[in-house]
Amino acid sequence: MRVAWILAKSRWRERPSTLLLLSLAIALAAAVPTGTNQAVQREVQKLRQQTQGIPLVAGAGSAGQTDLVLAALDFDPRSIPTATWGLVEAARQDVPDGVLPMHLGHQASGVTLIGTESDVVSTLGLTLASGRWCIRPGEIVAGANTSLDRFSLGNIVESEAPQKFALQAPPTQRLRVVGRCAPTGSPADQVAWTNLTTTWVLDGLYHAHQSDSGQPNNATADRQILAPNTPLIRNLYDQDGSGLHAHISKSELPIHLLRITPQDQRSLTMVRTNLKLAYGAMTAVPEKVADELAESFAARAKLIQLAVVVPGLGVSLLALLVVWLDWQRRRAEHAGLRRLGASQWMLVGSFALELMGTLIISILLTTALTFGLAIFAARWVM
Amino acid sequence: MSSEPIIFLEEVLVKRGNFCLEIPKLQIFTGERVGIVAPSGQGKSTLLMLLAGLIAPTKGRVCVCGVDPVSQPPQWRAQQLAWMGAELELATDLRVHEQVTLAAHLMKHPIPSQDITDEVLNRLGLAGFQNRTMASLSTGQQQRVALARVLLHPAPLRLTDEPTASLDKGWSNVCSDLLLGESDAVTVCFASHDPTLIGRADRIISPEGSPP
Repeated sequence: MRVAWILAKSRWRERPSTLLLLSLAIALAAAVPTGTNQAVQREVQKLRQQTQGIPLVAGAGSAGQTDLVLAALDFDPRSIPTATWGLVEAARQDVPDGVLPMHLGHQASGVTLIGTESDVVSTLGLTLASGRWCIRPGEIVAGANTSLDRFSLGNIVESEAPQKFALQAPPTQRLRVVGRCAPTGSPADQVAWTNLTTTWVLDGLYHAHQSDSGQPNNATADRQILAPNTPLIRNLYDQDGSGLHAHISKSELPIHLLRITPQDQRSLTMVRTNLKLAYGAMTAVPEKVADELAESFAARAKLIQLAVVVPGLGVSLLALLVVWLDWQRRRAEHAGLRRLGASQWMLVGSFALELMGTLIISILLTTALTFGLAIFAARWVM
Repeated sequence: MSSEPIIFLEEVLVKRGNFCLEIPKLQIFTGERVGIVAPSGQGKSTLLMLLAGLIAPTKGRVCVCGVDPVSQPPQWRAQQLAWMGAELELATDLRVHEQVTLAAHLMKHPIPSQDITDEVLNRLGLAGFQNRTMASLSTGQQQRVALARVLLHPAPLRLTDEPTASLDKGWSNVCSDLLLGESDAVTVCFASHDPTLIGRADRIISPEGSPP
């Protein structure tokens, strides 16, 4: 053991650069993936924390829908207020100022529900025959020709989801009839009206994308991303043939709940690009998008790894060459020591001691490098 | 000189490739200084390696210090032999003072005192070189370090191959005196072409190896 110690000590004393190079190569090989992974995980965690309170919801089942979501975001890059499903549930129970998640494509007892604003009711020629205009979530005003049995004042009706949208909201909503319109002699008499702020505006936009027969408009289904500030909403409402939609200024669009669920890479790219364009940072990213972004970070992290691994590989190859040359020298030396009477175990022992020293330094270097790389990678990734 | 041979060889044949060495009988007694002298390639080093148990005979009997050296563990060599090969076989990263006490460590004997070590190194002209590594020494100095290792190795049998090969006449004289001039309890067997060393031997043997 004494001889093993003397030999091992002599290596470290006389060839510290060789052994440090080996330690560095080992440390690089261990620290690069660990450090980069730590950085990515930290960023993912940060994103998740940022998005936890924002379960943004919007039915975006196709590229066309995603366009709309993006257009809306670009159109009015306001801060999106935090809303949770708890709030949604509260809204269902008629809590004031709540938000009722509902499509404009919803129907109630076979009657189409239309979202509008009280300000523009007069432009549609609507007047109330009884009751009041809907102002709270879950309230509706029935058209003149709707069934009196089902749509009398105070009645509760169940909405029916159109089964076309990828919304995660409850499929039905309980709606209270708070008013009835006077006859106008137009198709407006056949529908029920609900306050736009109680509805899912982005699905309203999608609704505008539908043809007269209620089917999605293929012409708009594969549209590319819209430029920011496109007066999309006004145009869509203007061009809608039914004439039943309310006109609303872009600044009044109540984008309360959005959920972006891009289903293909193109949509994902658009979402990512536009969120960045609109907000300049990833501060309001939906959870699923955060996951996707995390993947993007991971991809970049791989690039970082590559950038560091290549020189690391070079160092490793150099280290291997050093080891090989050293080994050749050591074989002759070991043969000489064995002739002097050194046992194989003693030589193995000296090698083990030498390796232990190398490993201890490697571990220290790995820890330091991991920490450093984690910081470097995090900054680069972001 | 003892009547019991410390080295005894009988009907030994060594075949290594095209080389063949035959030794019908050889006896070396304790305290003898035996020089192995022969032209290059005649088997001097082979004979020394045979005695050290580093190679086995193809046939015949080899007995060193009462045992067959080939069948002994490495520690036996450390205990019984002070070996100095032609290639010196110095550990390159060890310093001079570590090199010369290495054998004592291998034998698990108390290491020679600083005074003794310094005296041997002084006599070999290596005073002040204790903390130098092999890379910083000349070939002649390295040879003297290897010789110092042999001299400080308290083994009963010294086997040295060309111990003065890289030394000038002056150092050859000094080293020959040191190697051969100690107590009769130590047996020395050396291979050499150096007349200075050969002239101090008690006996000269000449192996005659040849292609079979």
